[in-house]
Amino acid sequence: MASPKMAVDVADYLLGAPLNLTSVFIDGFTPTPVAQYSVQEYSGPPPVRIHGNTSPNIALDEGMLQISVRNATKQTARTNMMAVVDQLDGLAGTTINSTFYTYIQSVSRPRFHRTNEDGSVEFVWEIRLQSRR
Amino acid sequence: MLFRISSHDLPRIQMKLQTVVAKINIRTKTSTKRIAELILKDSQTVPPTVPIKTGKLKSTGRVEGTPQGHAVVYGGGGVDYAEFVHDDLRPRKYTVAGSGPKFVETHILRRFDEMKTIMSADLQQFLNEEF
Repeated sequence: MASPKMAVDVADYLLGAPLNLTSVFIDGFTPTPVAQYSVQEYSGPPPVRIHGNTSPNIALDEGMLQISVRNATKQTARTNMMAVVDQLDGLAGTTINSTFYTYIQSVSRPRFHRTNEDGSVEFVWEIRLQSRR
Repeated sequence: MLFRISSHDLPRIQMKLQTVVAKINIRTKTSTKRIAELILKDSQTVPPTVPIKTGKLKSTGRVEGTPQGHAVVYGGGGVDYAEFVHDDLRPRKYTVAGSGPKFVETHILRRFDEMKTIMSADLQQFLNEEF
């Protein structure tokens, strides 16, 4: 089985039920609309491999994702971020786009990240996730 | 019939165990300091390294004691952007090749198994010395 596209999977999960979000992008924000979400992968731990008679095979992939939320107001950005946190943190045994995720868990607290030139604000939050090959 | 078996050494053993438990905490903190120093060095020598523009951020890198052990800390002393630089994943041109975001977290994740080995080895050595 191919290496999982974790950022794509999580973005698709956010777009689907129960959150049914719109404007979720991969690898950073786009200029418009102001209110949007971004899912970006960054370097994480190595995969878990099975060693046997054959060459070592990957059994579990480990990934780190940063989820960003942008909104015109700080309060709404925080509320939107917390909705994502409540939905994703602690998720286990979930299949997204045919990939089985054993767990998705928070590795940091959601927090204010920056105020942009147009006055919009960004919150960020990091998760660690593991998927089965 | 009632009988009791006891050892004259029991109070001494109990006292020894209490001392060892207290020392384990100190020994573990020494291990966390060693690990934190390793991570701090990584954050300045192994990509992704701490980004450098003026050098102020890098100069604030240090290991600090915490109630749980030790932590790698950047920022303070007029540098209030350490967390922002560390977590900002947007692509940008860094002045030093190999520098970039997550310059501490990446090394913690990379060395996680090694950390467990270091702490376990330190603890084992300590127990060998004590008993």
